[in-house]
Amino acid sequence: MDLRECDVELDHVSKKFGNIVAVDDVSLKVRPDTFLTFLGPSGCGKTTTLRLIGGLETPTEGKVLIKGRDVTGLPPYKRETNLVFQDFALFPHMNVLGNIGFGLRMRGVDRGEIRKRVQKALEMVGLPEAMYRKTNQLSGGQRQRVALCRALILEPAVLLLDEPLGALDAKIRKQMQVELKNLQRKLGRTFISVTHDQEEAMTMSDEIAIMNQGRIEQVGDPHTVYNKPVSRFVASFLGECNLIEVEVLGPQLGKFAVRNSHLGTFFFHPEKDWENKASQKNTCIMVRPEHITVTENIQDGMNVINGTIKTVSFKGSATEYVLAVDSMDVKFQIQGKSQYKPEDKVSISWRPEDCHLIP
Amino acid sequence: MPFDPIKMDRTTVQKELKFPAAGFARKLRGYKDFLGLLPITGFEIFFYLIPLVFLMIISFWMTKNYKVIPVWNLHNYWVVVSDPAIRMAFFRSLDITLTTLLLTVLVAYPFAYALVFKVPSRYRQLILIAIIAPFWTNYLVRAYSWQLILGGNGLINHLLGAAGIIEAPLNILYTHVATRIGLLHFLVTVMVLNLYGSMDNIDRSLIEAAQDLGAGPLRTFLHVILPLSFQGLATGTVFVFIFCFTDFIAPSVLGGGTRPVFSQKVVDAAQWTANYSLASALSMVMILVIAVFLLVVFRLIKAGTRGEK
Repeated sequence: MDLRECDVELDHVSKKFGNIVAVDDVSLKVRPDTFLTFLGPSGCGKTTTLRLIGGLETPTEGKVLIKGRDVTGLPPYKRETNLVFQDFALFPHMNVLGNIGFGLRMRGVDRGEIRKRVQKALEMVGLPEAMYRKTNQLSGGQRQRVALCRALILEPAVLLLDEPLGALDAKIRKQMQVELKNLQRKLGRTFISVTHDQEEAMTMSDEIAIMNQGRIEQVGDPHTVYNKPVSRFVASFLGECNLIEVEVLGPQLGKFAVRNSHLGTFFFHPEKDWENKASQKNTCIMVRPEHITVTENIQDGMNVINGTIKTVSFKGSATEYVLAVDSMDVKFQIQGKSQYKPEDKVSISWRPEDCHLIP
Repeated sequence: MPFDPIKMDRTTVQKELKFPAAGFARKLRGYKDFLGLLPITGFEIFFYLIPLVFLMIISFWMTKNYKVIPVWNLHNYWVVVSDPAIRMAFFRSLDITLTTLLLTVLVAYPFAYALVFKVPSRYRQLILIAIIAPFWTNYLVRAYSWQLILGGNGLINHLLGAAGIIEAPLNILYTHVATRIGLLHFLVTVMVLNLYGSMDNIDRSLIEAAQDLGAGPLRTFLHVILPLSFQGLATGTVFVFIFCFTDFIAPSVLGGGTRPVFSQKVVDAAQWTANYSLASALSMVMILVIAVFLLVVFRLIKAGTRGEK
């Protein structure tokens, strides 16, 4: 990919705070007009990475490029990025107009023009009457929209959002997820967000970068990352999954076979380079609970496990079952209300397309 | 014990009959919380407020032959306003106060800013202790030590003369430059502590937000740090003003007696000419000036915090 085509590029960036390595040799290229989310548990380095892009931290090693320009040494007021802070960081001694217009004031735009643009921005986020209100008179959702306006009104090349929905209650959060996504599509600019909420990341993003202990484990669109995780961490972070330890056998019955010593042989469709890793030992396959069903009709070449139902949890739209098999528990999920009870002996299976091998 | 509404009623009625003043007692009990304030309030009333009232009364009386005579008149205030020496002393006090205030703010702000935002946190406490340490010595004693430094044969003149920068010793001591230096030495510390407190309370993310929105260090200071440290500035200013305007030691020890300030006039009237009524009038005027200043500052604080609250 041509360098000039990236909105953001991180080139072997590391950040150390004393002895603690917050960001460990991270490289990433972000295409224009992308909604990218850094996803990971607390302390994985995602917020630090965001701040490195914004200029609020300087990398210990590596380079940061924005729109092809090396901005590594530049302070935040010289970069084409703007950050929406987790706690919004609205200036308490200014009203909404003063807050949103701050950046324009710094650029020397004249007051009348500022007032016009701020009014337009407020109308765009649904707060047309808020211009002269004090920041402490606003609700959480309103403050968030003011913080968004304050950043977007400067038309940055990249908008950075630090846990943008963390401070909102659940109902508004869902609404804002959709609004943010639509906003990004409408503006056509790159948004980079940080969150620990897997569902939020999946809903809003075009691309997800999953981070763990300062490193990016995987980058990809939500479908790929969910269905084809490259590591156990990624698999288990993005929702429920079953991980079965297997040993790779090789091609069999037109598909690829792996074996677990207790549970038998399973089949799946491999990716391109699995032929080379024929006798890998320490692998496992991943199956998501929603891809498993109960079967009566067992045939050769199917992925089948026999076990006893241990627990049943009715979650509303679906029922979760835990199946006790040998030494393991297997979780699976069926839409609708429960049909099986604990102590039932069932056979479950899944299609070869629905499982994935993890090295 | 089962709840017996009828029995309860009777007891309540009995209570009301036995203690008709129960309502009043209940009201007093509400003020029990303020009992803690009584000792200090009483002390202040007895030893401050009442003498102050006496002072006010005496300022309207006359002094003849070193005795205060209870004859009501405005003569003392007339003297305060019309006597040229007193007027000169007043404006001299005001001049010293305002210039010292300005210098204090100019010196303290960068220092406090550096201490809060630039100095790594492990050195901060050390520096704060170093600033406060001089307070452990008596103010008068420190004023005298300034004499040693600023005098004709003092440290500064020695150093400058040895370095060949000056030929004749500089006349600093016994001028009001020395007065200002002595006051500054004390008051910069006070102002730094006040500013440090309010600046340290500023949410760091606000500063980052300002930078992210395009403000460099200077504009971040002007638009974010300065307004948000206003509280500390106001408190410090009040203290500096009151101290400078009323201080007697620095002008006397360092400024000499040739160009008296207002506080020295009060002492003159009270000690040397034993004109207590004039001294009282002078004191009243001093209090009035301070009161006016406080009013102005509090108005400004209100206007400043209207944006915050």
